[in-house]
Amino acid sequence: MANLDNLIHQPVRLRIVSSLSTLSEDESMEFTFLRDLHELTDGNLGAHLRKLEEAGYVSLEKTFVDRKPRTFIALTRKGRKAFGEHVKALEQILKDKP
Amino acid sequence: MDRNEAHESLEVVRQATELTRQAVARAGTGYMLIIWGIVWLVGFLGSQFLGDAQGYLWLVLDVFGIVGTAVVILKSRRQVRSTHGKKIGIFWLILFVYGVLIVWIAGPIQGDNYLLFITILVSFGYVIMGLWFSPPLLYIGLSITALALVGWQLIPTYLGAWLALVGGGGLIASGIFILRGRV
Repeated sequence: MANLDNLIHQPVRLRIVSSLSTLSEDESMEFTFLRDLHELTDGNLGAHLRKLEEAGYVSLEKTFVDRKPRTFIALTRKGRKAFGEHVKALEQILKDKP
Repeated sequence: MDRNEAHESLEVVRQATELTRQAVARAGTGYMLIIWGIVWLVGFLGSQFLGDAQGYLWLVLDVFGIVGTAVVILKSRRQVRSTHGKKIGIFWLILFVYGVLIVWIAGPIQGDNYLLFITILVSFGYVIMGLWFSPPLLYIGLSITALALVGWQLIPTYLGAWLALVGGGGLIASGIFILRGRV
């Protein structure tokens, strides 16, 4: 029986993790791209990513692209599994409850 | 959690994933299919209606395609990073080399058969990429291959125009579908 994940369930984090789940395992998304996609501020996105990173759900890599510092975010296997379980739990609620 | 809350959460997931797919598609594959679709549309029509007078048309179009692809790649790597990129580039280079080897070994390919050979070779490339990492490209490659062969058998006199339509038009339409998140 799948369980709801309280960390992922927060609306903004749910959107962040949903977006990252569309990438394959070896892909990562740039911080400002993710920020603009969901119309968040740097601080807001940063705070949510910190919580997800502490839980081991996302990994952050700071690098340089065209000589500019960039941060790329990827969903970890643990995060992918937790998201999958969370979605299954939501779908189960729709099936079980009238 | 009640049913309404679960439904709302799933809707959030659906909207976020669709939004992301569209944005990522805009960053890469969609635009590249449109660029090369334009190359094929104009190139094949030129081959059909201009014949020898087409001159350096294909060369100019290929330069347009390569420059356009480079611009798309440079823009997209700022947004989504993938280890696929280098591998894809190497794959197309190897495919090109194998194409040259096939022509060299099998003998010169003339006229419309050359147009068909290019179409099938590139479609094969899309099929492999589709199997590798993007299923829509598999269907695009197989469809263009099938339609190209149909035209070759049924309307060989108008093969160039047919390839412009199914190949060039097919790639452009596929790119638009991907950009709209339909695929």
